[in-house]
Amino acid sequence: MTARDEYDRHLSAWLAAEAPAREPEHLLGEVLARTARTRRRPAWRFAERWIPMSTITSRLAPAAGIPWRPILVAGLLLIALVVGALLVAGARRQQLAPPFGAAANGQIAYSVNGDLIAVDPKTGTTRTIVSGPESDSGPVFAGNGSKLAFVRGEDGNRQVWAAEADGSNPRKISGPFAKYPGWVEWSPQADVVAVEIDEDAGRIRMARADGSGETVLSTGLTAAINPIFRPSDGNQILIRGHASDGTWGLYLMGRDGSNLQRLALDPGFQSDPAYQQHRDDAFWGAAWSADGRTLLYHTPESDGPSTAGFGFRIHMATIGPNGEVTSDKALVFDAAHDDEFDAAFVPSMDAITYQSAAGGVFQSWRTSLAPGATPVALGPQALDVIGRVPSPDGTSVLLVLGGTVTRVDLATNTSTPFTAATDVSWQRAARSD
Amino acid sequence: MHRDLVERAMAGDHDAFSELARVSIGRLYAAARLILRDPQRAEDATQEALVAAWRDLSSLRDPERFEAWLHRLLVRACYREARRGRRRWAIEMDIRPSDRIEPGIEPDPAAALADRDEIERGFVRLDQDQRTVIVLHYYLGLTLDEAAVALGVPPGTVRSRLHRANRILRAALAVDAGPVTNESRRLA
Repeated sequence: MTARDEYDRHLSAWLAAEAPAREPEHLLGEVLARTARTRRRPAWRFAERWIPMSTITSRLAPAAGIPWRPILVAGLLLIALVVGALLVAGARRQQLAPPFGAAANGQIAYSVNGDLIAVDPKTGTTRTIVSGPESDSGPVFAGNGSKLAFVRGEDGNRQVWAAEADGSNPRKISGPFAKYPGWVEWSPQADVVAVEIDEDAGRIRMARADGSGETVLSTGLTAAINPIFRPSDGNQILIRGHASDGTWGLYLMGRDGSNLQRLALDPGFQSDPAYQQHRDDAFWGAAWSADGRTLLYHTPESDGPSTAGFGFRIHMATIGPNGEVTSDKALVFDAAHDDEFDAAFVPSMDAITYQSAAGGVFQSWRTSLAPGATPVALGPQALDVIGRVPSPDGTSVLLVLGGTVTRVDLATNTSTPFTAATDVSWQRAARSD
Repeated sequence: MHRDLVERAMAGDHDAFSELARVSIGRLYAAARLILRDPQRAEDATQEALVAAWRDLSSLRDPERFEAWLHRLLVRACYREARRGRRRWAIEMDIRPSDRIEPGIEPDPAAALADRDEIERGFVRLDQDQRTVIVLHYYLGLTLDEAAVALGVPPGTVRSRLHRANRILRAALAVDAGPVTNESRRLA
């Protein structure tokens, strides 16, 4: 036995002797009591959830023509009704936010004890917008700010509901499911909610927001997760898919499930030494630019351009209208970071935010994409993945750090504790200018 | 670790998670005690790690990696606990005399275990990064690559931390085997 072997043996023996023989008797019971009353975090609240914003012009539904008829009074009444309806609809449309890109700040919603609360970020005034005996959580505002989706019920009977943004007219749109949906995503027009649940291997539910039913899109993949609508018209959906050959990839398909195709991203990724060991971590965090032409994602890389060895690196790719990849490059902001991931465009589209991990410490960043730009750290460091919810006007960001929420003012980079649960969603509102 | 239990727990089966917790909790607590050197904080860290595991289980992509993921959660919880109580921990470190005798520990007649106190003296000189890598590698038996995953750092960083930790422990053994100097006392 070498001196080194002996040293190793002594050290292992000392650690084994020093370690307590068993845990305190009460500890397991306390853990299980806490887990039994702990709500599981939905997958969409993890790093991959936060997506970019972009601009869209609402498409007006063509107004029905009014046929002229001999009965003049009735005709005039009809015309008056139609004109009135158009005025009301027009006024409503004017109040809608563009679903992508910069918008004005609306209310911030989150759950408290099974009810949904909304706070006005300017005044701090809070009000309950959805309440009742059921357990409601996970609010998600539509991109145009007009509606709200949320999850109702407990495990064994989870349902997706929709309501107007003020909480009125709540209606079930999908479910029941055995457990929390993995992903809930509004279409730009706020007419459909894409729902991903674990039981639906390779399928995405398109639940109509008026509660009239849902269409199930079958992709033929063994898993289809994280559906996001492509700006600006939402006629295509991007998903993270798992194929029968065991590989994950990002796929584009029509909103009706047609023309599914794998995006040819990160050429040669399967020859990366890190790939075989970390193949299930490939192609996460997809996020579109406002115009739907640029796609951000992160994927494992071995040494490559990094000095920190294996880790997540952010990619920026240019995608043509039919899914053709015209460019794809890795962005490395600090080669010493173990990981850089979870990138998204800021609402004004002139910068991106992302987060890094180094030595088990996580940090959010914002950086311009101009050559030579230096990333600026956002808010405090954390020992866990940081969730980011940008304000629609791009002036601040909510950081979800562990069980707390912190608001960071981007002009001064000052952090202020913000009273809210971690399932926070920020409504987009129409700008007055 | 039983894959089916992990998969059931991932699907929301609390009974399956309870069984996973029952099987894991002893080693998690022991590792936390060694890292934090504080029973109460070790309890808190163990509890936080397991609650986080239940809360965030849907983020686990590969059931085979449950144990590695749990180790990572424990390490994070230990760092969080240590940060929370840094001041108290520093005071505890400061008042430890270099040549103290742990109450209740009898001298061990076996030659191999005669180094017990010396190892302990070296161990308390390690910072948390070094203690953690020692516990992961020598107590939990993780390879350096596995320890890197648990720590969330590159394997090279683990190797350098382990090298520095071992150098301190070996120095403690060498110094304590010989005459005690003022220098070695100040180091404690």
